[in-house]
Amino acid sequence: MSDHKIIFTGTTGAGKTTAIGTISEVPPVSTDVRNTDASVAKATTTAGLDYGELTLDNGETLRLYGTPGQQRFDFMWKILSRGALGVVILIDNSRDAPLDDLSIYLKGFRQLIREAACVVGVGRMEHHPHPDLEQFAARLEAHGVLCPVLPVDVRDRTQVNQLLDMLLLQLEIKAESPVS
Amino acid sequence: MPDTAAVALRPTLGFALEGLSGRDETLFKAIVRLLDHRTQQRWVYRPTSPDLRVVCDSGFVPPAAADAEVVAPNIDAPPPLLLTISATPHGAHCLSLPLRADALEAELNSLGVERMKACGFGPVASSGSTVQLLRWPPAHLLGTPERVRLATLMVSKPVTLAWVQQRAGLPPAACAQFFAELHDAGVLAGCPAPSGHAVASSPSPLTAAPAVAAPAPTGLLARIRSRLGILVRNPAP
Repeated sequence: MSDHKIIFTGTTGAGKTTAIGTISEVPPVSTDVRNTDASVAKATTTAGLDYGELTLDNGETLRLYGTPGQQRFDFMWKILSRGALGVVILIDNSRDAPLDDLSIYLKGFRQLIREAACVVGVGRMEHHPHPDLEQFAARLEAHGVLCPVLPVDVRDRTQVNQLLDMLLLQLEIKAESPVS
Repeated sequence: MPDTAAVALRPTLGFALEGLSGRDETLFKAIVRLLDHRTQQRWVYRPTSPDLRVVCDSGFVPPAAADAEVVAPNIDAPPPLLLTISATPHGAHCLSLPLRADALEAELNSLGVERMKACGFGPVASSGSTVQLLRWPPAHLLGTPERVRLATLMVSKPVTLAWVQQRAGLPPAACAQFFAELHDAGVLAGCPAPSGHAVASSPSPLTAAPAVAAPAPTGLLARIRSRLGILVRNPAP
């Protein structure tokens, strides 16, 4: 049986653990530790990775990995990227420099984005509307990346599903023969 | 009676009025509104960045000056078309006073098709001209999940309107309208290569590098969708 994986990455507090928990059929396994970063308003943070999974109807497993958000763990990003179907980048728009956050992940997952698929979900836009989606699109363009960028509330399964729908749609298009 | 949904999804074009008296301006706008259920495109009054300049002979403003007044500085957009209104009509696209609804309808339909062609849409696009999404569209163009999916269909490689229609399973007019709005927003460009197949084979920025991993099999993707409870609204042809 083959296993497949989708990566959730993004800033600390963007909701990777929550997003995986929203769709995983098993309680997500997290390697959270007590947060000692005063700049992040959360009790725990993921120091290793999050893990959830879905069993497909043929018995194969779709593994959902959430990467640690901090850039110092970027060595794990490459390890987790190997063989992944695609990456969901989650951005917390309440942080100081969300566009720079996006740049970090676009660089860190450059190869996966180029070879597979990517979608960007921006959280907390209802209270932090700036930068807006147009600015995120411009930042993607500056990195030579063209992919969906949508507002998202990762607590809402429907919205997480929409992100994955956009990811799968890109993969379907790539798997099809060229436009004729 | 035209299909209501199709009418609602028609491409929208804008017209500007120059040199008409207040009475004729009001009359022109009223006739356009009355014709709204009949014209192939939806026409709205748009004094800036119009698709069509309606110029009355008696109050004629020289084209250069008129451009400066009414045309937004979008140098990439094709110049607006011209419809002249004159007491002594002459040449193509010229209407006489008093205005007649049937004559105006014919002109709007003719000029609408011309404008859509100039923008790279309409029959030209349906017959297979290839376009490339340049960047993710502005949020105001993505008001529905269907439009988000349409845009997503276009991120991986150059596409044709016909292909997007087929793949999305949406009415042709809805796709054409979306293309037109993307073009107006400056995020859609035609691909220069003359052969559709050659263009389609050209790699997009995302696929330019050699892929290490093989494309995911569609059966797997369908199973993931099924497991997530995402409806497969538009299965691959």
